[in-house]
Amino acid sequence: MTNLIEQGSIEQDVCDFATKLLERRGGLVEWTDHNDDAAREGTAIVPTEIADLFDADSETVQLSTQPGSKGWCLSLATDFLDTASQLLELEPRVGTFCIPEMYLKRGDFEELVSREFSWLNARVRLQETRPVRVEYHTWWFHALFVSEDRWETRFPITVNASSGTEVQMPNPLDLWELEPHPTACRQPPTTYKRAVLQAQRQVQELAGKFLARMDGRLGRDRRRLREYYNALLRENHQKKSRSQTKPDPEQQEARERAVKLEMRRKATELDERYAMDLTLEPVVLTRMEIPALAIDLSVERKRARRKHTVYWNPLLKQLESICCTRCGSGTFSVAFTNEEVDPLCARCAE
Amino acid sequence: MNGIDSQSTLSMVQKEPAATESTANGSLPKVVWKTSGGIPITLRSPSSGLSGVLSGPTTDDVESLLLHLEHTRLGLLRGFDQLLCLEGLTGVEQLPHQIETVRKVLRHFRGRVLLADEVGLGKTIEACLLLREYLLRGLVKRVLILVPTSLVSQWHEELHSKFSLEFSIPPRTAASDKSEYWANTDLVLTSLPFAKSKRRADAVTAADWDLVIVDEAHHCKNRKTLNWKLVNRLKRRHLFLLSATPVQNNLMELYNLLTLLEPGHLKTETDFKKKYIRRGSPRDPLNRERLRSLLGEVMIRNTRSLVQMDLPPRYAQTLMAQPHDDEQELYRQLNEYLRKRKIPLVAPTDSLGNTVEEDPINENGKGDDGNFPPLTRRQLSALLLASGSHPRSLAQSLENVAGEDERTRPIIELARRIKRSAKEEKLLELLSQNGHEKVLIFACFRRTLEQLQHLLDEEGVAYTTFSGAQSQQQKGAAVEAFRNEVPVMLCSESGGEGQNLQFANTLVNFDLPWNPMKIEQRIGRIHRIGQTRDVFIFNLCAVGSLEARLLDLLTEKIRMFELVVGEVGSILGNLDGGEEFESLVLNLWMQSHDDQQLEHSFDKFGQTLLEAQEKYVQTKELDEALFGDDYE
Repeated sequence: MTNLIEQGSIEQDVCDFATKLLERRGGLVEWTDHNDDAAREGTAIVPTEIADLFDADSETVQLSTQPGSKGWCLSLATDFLDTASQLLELEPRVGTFCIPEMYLKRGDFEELVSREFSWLNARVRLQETRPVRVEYHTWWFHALFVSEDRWETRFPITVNASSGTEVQMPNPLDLWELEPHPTACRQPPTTYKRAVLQAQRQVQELAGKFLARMDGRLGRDRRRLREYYNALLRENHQKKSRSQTKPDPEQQEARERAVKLEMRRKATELDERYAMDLTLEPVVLTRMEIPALAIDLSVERKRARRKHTVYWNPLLKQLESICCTRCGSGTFSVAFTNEEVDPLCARCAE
Repeated sequence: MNGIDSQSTLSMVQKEPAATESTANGSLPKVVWKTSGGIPITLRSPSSGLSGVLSGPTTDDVESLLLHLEHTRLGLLRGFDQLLCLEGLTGVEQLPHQIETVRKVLRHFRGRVLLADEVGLGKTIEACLLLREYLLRGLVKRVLILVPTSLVSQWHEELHSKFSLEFSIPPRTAASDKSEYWANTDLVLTSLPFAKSKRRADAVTAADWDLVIVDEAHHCKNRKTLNWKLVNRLKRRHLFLLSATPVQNNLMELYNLLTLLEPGHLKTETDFKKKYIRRGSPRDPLNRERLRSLLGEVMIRNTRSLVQMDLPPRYAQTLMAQPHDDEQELYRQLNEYLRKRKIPLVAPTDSLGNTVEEDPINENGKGDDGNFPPLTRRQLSALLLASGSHPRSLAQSLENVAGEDERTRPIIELARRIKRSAKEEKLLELLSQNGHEKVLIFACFRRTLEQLQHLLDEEGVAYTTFSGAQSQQQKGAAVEAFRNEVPVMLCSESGGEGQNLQFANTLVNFDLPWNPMKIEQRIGRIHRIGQTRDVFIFNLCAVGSLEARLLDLLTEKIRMFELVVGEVGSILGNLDGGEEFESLVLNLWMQSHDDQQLEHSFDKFGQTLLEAQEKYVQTKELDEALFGDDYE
């Protein structure tokens, strides 16, 4: 990834990040002029507790992008990010925001619903369309695969807190309409498990090339091992037939057993080497309340009847999918269970 | 015939969890998937996790959240191009070829490599940098380092002082025979002979290791030996083999080493012999280019010509000082006393040939003379070393070690009465002839350094002192003073490591450590990259002293001072028995009852050293012929 980004721009990003972080913690940062080739140097005046973190004698901390320099070394090749994470612990990770007003579509939702959804085994009727305020939770995950190699990424998953459906929303932090929402509901979010489930799916796609590469490597290593030990076994057999004197069969068999045992051991070792751990760590959560339209549907399945709600999203200007009660994925092609009339995606309904 | 079943290598991840276990605390269930290639992926709960996000305060300020996101993004940029291991090192001169090697291993070798740099180019540094990088990135947690017995303490010291890595050396007690020790200790450094011992080999191989490092890996060249079998049996994800001379006699040794790394990489033994070994000519492989390309996938070899690290020559001269009468009397009395209190036993080794620190008390609880217990080996060597350094150091050491024994009183007093030793006079003579060159003077003992300070003060010679006890700031100031102001710098044993002292080209060993590697480290302070002038080394020793014999051995037998940095280690590695060199020297002293016997013992030992050196030279020639200069 680094190869694709100019070193200078990383350096600039690191400096900008450090400046913002220190200033948020009550510091004052000043950079000296520099030319492109030289390391960036600066000074920060920080509160005592932050100065302690850098083992600084006074409240003045030297900043430099040059590894090995005094003070705080702003380089990815140092423990810069670790120190920064200590400072960041003081910064909240959950934000509450809202968009007070948004245009809500008017018109014939019956036609829209019938166009967007297909109902596989039930009769569905639109009952009511009502304006509501819906909270959307955007969870930012840091995903890390560790095996022989490692691969990591960062991505958001947004879930409609009312329906539990994953929604492909724009980044809320980029929305100009976004406003603080200090009076927002402080109840713990209920969407975490749903978000993790979606994140697990998404990360498999994001890591597709990495996983393919690891599969390829493992395949090659397995093939090499197999060929090697099979060749050893073949040689053992050939020795039997070529030998002038009759070989000791017990010795030959013992050798064959030993080779097979070693082969199994090495194969197990290989599998252990490639076994992967995946950590999905939530980094940030934004709770954003926006106006939306709730469309209540009456679903009849045989003799059972149930009400379900779908939402029209004003940011996407479209209907959101329904959440499959079995696998959690969103679907527009909906089947229902017999008695509870729970929605299922086509795959879960098979 | 059972082979390994073929597996599809299509990479499609199963969409659903293959196994799910709910956790008791209601947190995320543990999920395991498998890729189509069969790699299991286990979803681990996050370390700080949900509670980290949810238990904190909330905000309606976008900036807080953006900072967290930027922090994560910057973390993603920390690829292998940005080595983490380079920060926080102490006294490690990072050479470009070493950094490049670290990057290569990280990117292309997947943690399984034979590091086969020519002697003196820093294989150990490369391995330690890699180790640190893997540890810092969380790629390994459990590490086993196997080294020759003679290098255990040096590795331990360097891991600690240069890389801030604390490795455990297994105790020489029954505890290390148990599997718990090996299973529960994450970072272990030990010798190959210790690990392969019947008593503990099963315990060592039962443990899972993320990384195994084998130094002087040519000791595993023969697959019929316990060494090879032990390393082969070790359960490990990554393996670094280190050897400047991977081929000592024939190509099969290389085959055996690489089979440890990647079984089957060079196919079977029969295949390998057929394709690459020319009958009767082990130095000239068949299909050289193909072999070279295969080796390039698992082996890195930097050569001096490749990294352009040829140093100017160095010249050594021994200055013998004839001890004054009082000094001679001091040495005589000391020798007499030490021989009375030395351990009567001759074989201070255990069944593995390792030196053991014996109990200073005899079976009857008394020493030879019936009053005091024998001195331990450590005490004996400390006193002998001090006697070779300076009378005042000897007095101090004697006071510390055996002060309660009244018989030491006259020796201590005699030592303190000596105003100026013959070596000190020799040193002054040397300094007066030296002209304008900067001179670095090394001494093992703090007390000796103090005496030398007095001496130079008395004679009006300007100097500065650099010692391990000083702060970084003081050290920096000392080097600056040496560079710009004074002609002499007094240096303690650990002094000068990592400092740029190449502006000096003259070094004086006022005393001599018994370990040639330490002597080499001293020389390495000025005879290193950046040195443009010839280097001069002066060794001071008293006629008839143990140091004089040792020096004679090192200069006459292995021509130590003419060797390239690092070659001494390779030669000593060829000594059988696996004892520390200092311990061997002490054995020689302990086994002899008078000077004549001592001379005879040293002669015999010299022959052994000579053989070790010849073996090294032969091996070096073979490796050069095989790999050439342009191998990379």
